[in-house]
Amino acid sequence: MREPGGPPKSGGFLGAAAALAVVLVACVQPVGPARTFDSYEHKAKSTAETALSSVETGQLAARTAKHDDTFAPYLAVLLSDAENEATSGQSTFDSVQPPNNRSDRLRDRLDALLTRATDALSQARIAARRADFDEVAKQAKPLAKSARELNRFVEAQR
Amino acid sequence: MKKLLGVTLGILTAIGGFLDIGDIVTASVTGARFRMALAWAVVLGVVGIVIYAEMAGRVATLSHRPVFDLVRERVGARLGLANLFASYLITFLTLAAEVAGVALALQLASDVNYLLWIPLVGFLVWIVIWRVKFETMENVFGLFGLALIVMAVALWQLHPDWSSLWHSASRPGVASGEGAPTYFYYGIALFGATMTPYEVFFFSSGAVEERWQRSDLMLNRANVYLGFPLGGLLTLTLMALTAVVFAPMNITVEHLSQAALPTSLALGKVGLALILVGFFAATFSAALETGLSAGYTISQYFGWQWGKLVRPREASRFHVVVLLSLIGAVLLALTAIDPVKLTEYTVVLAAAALPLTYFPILVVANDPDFMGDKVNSRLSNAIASVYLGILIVVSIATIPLMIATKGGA
Repeated sequence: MREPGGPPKSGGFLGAAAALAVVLVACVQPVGPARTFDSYEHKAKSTAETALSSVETGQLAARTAKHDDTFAPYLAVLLSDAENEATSGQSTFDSVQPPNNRSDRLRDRLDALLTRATDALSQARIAARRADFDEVAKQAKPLAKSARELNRFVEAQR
Repeated sequence: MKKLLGVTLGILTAIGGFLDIGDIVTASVTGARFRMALAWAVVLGVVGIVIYAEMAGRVATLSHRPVFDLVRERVGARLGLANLFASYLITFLTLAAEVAGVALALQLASDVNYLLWIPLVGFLVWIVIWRVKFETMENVFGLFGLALIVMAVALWQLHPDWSSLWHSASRPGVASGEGAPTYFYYGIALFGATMTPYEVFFFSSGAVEERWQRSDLMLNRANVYLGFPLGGLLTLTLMALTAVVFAPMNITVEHLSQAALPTSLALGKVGLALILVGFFAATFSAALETGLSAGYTISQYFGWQWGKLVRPREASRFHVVVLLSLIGAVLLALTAIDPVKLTEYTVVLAAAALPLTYFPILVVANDPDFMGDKVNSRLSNAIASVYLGILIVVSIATIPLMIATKGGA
């Protein structure tokens, strides 16, 4: 019934090993250097967009807390994920060497916005871990302010 | 009446068991990023899995032999082994993603870090595979998975602009600010998540395990023709939810926690509780299926005794493979590799590997020695051949697109 076995074709194994390598390499996305202001500005914009997404998620989370439409553990995880995303974006951006003085100014401006955004998310996450929904809801205001600032920053880089 | 109940139960479990971490992640990510512009990829994937699973179920029922047994016989031992290696690798990666998915679902309910849940999840998956009857396992988790229907209620409750959703789905195109390669990369991700190979290994092996006869072909068709498309509708619902809530705010989905947020906004605590139960059931059920599929593929290829209907002592090598695969998946998940990214890459690679098992099944489904008068009709062959072409194109395009888009970044 069955054909006798034999040594496997190395091509199949190499293909599968290559696929696995692609997965592993693709899972790690190193940040490339920025050699010009344009390239640095592009990275700044992308970082601001990531932070904006986290802040907007935080705002929606605050809305569910305000209406008591959520559970504390879930809310804490949601806000912690949003905070981690924003923080990791900020630290990745900060690790990029600004190529010139103009880039330094852009870096300072964005850093201030990112710090305010992550602070608001941290406050919301701390309150959620204490199941203090009122405090989480109160963070809606600083989060909304952060969202406006980041939005303006993104628009300005277009 | 009993038969009707059996068919209904089969359809319900097919719906409830359709979604897994791959569907949840890709539907959420693409809905937020492309609205409904990639809905076609889900429809394409559902039609594909219907064709593939129906053929595999029919072949398994009539030949009483599962997929990998036939693959080995059809393509020969050497090519079969390379095929086995690729298919096992995808199933293993999917298993790791599902185990991490269950742990993430538990984290959402408990706020205990998902890495701490992973060993317990691995143990629970193993104990259920070891101790619980095949039918019970399939039905219980499939039915709990129906909790995900809450997403449809949430969508209706959000009062979306249905015409805008339909417009986005029916006139697909690359949105401004997105490149065509990224668009098609995510199209492949959705296609791969919907048409995952392990589903077919599990489905056809189940047909052999439950000793389906010719009279059960109707059950096969009911599960596949009704259960899978209705399950696919849940994927589209999740896509629509993130399209309605996140896309207008430019929120990108990076975490499983975000996938539950639209339901929480629409239905409050009850909705949130149900969707968390649904996430747990869907990922746990998929972890069981992938764990078993890992054992099925290797045991069937080497001709070992396999399955849950025989005593573990009689299928010891099958159970060892399942156990080792689970341990490996737990260790991979414990490396703190981003589970969402792992899922995204796994579903894309799954799409690339599909022709490896699809083609031999298509050949056997046309072989009168195995199928008698139940060979593929001309229409089925025409559709199945078109899909073979699609699968080959997807398979060739996947890796270049993955590299060109830096994994959809």
